[in-house]
Amino acid sequence: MIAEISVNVFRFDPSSDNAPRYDSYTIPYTEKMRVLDALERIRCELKVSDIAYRWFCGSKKCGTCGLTLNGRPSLSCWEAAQDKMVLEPLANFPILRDLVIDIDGYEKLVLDLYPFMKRSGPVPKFPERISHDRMVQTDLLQSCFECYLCSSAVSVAGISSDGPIWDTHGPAALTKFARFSLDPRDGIDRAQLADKSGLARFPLDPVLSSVCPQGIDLLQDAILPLRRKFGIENSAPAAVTSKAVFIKAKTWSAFVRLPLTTLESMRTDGKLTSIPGREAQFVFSA
Amino acid sequence: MQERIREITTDVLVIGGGAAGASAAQRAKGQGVDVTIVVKGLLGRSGCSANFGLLEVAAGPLLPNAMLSIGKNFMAMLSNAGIRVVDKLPEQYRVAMYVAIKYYMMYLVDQDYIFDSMIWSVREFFPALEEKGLYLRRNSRGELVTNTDKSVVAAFFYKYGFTGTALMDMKRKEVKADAIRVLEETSVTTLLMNNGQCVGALAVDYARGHVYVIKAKSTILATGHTNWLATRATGTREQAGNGFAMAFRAGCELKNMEMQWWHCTDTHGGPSAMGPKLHNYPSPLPATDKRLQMINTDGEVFYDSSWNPLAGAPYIQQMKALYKQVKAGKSQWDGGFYGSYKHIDQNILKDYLYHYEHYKKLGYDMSKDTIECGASWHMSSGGVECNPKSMETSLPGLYVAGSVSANFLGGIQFVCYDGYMAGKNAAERAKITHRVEVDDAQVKGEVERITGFLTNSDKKYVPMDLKEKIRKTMWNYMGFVKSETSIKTALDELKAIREDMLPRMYARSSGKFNYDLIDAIDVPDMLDACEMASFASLERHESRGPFFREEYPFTDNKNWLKYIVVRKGNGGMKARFEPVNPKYLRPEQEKADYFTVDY
Repeated sequence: MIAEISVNVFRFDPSSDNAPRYDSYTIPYTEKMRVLDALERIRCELKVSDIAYRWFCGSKKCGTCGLTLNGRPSLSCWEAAQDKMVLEPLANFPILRDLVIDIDGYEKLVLDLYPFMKRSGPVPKFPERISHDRMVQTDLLQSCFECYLCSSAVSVAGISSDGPIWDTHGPAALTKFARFSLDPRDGIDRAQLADKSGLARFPLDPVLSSVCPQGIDLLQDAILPLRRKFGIENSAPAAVTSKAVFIKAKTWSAFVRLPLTTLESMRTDGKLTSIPGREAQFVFSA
Repeated sequence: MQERIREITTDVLVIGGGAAGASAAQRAKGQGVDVTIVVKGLLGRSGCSANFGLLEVAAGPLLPNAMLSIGKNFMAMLSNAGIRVVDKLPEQYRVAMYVAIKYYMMYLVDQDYIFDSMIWSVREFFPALEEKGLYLRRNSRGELVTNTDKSVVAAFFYKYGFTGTALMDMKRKEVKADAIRVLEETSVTTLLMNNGQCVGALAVDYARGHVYVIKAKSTILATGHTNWLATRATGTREQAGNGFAMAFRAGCELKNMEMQWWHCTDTHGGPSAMGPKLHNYPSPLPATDKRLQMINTDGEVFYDSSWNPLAGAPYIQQMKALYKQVKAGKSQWDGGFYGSYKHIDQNILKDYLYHYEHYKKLGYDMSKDTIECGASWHMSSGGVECNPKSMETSLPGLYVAGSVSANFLGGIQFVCYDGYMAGKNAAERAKITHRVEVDDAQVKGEVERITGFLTNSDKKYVPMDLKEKIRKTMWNYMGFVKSETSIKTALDELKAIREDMLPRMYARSSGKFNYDLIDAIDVPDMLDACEMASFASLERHESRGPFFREEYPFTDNKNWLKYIVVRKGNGGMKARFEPVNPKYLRPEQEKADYFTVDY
């Protein structure tokens, strides 16, 4: 039985800090403790009352408590607390403060792909008779609550204050797109939306099969069926479309970078290095 | 902070982003007016609605014959038990009306409101959900998966316990696509009043560090429940009773505030935030007539929800049973008793119960393990008094919708009905109102009050110190078991927190995502909401449903079938009584032992 655990938390206020720092806290450990509970203890018991993290339900329904736990995108209410764990914000999003990301840009991408249904004909009297066998995929995709773990797990996804960084809408938006495109009750021709979504340019990263906390295999349950539906056989390369500044946190993989809200908000202190053309990279130095 | 004040002028302001607020905003927008919705958390993702478990698509004319016959069987059972349901009600609504009026509201409800909202739900609300793309779980024969016993007909999206999440995901998108101005992670701190009219609200955007002065021709308060006013509670992080407190301070009357709902089968979960949020449904489960069993410290089953199949919502019966166990030393309120699904086919749990995965993740094997439970503070039956046909409050320009109103306990179809009505009437009022002005002195005073939390020089307490103290006070003295002594102690403790701790509380001034400031703003609101609940509790000299006074262990329909209504008076709170009209359904007993009545 471990008596206490230490937690390393990424602390960063883009509007006033020169660079992120990692603060270490030691808290008592109790059985069944979640990562979220550890944060609550730091805030309430150690009285670090200004530490910023987002959560509402604490029981995997609101989908708002996503963060990077030891390098892996995770929901903080869902994963067990561990000794020496490192907590960082989700990658690929602008940071509001500490562990809180700005999700507005990503949500616009979801809305951009018409996440609504229009029936093809008159709607049968409620409740219509429809076999679950036809609805298995819809049922599963309906469980997506847009926690954006998938969007932070892959390299071809990212949002800056100017908009999307890549010319594809990314996994969360594509999953929602699949939820309506693949619903047998849907009556809309979504081919133009599929084209706009950059589906063909979205790389089939194997991490997408295991990152979803709802157990959706994003490749088998969403992206590949979408490709079949819209007749896409070969991948086209994705390209960076907008100017962005990236920083890299300790545990993120080399490909996953963090766009800052604006270039101006980064106070360089000599740590900001320009990458020719369109982006700059900040490498965290411990 | 002064320099960060932004002004917005709108026709209809909606405060709250759950099902009631979203529905109100959509309906108002549909009337062709400009709409702004302010959400303390995230639209459709915070608050109660997203945690809503299942839809009671109670037998209605739109349901197939098999389900209508469930209703008929139920009526026969009621009749055999000697319970008469007034014949004025159409047959297909009787079951649902019976459950709603008796088991959820303990007869303290406007029965016409229940009837109106139920007809709307069956005719408009349920069919629209699937027309717009949601999918209620079917079996391979194409029928809704629902419980097999006789009391209610419960359907669900994806899994039992996930229904609200799916529904609110859709509503979030609909509102965002509908050209409605959405301010999220923004907490309204006060209603703006001018010449006795509500003219908008002041709000703090804690994520981005702005203050908004919102001028509105009509305002709809849709802030939901007070789900987290005691230590163990089912609520989401941001729920603090703000709407109750703001309406009270603006001069509204609030009723049924003593009728606080309790759960007793939420998971203990140790110190985990997940604990009390994991509800072990005692109500009918899908595809089985078996229900949750409750087991005491000695391993004896002391309650099985299927023992009384007439009780569509056995929550209060469970509390009464648990009380006896606690008295006998065979469990405690916050643990030492267990919920068990061991006797239920594990495949049913795996296929249909959202929490099945949660228990697995927490290390439970539900075929072998029982789940330690605790009692928890849940929904508030009470709320702001309004006209249940129009949702107008006594303050011109202010409407209420959903659980912050006194209309009903909750239930997503009911709160959407409220929003539907409030949105229409608020928009109509906005159309004939030319211009509104706010009272600059009130704005200035409110900004100073909020800035005061950030600049307080006597930095002794952080806001969470006070929040936890308030919750502990309510848990210790305003729990399920109350007495005159305990209620008075609660009131004294709340007073002490207000007088001794509040002036010495400070919030850190970090600009972006300053949740510390929100906690600070919550504290006086929680004190008001808790004081109202305690004050109203002193006035009721009987026990009824979730309200139990140990010195009055009887339910007295002869003398206490009446509402307690509280308001702000000169020098403190005032209460008055209002009669209840049991128009369709009347209690069976005049006065009876609290532990023998089943509601």
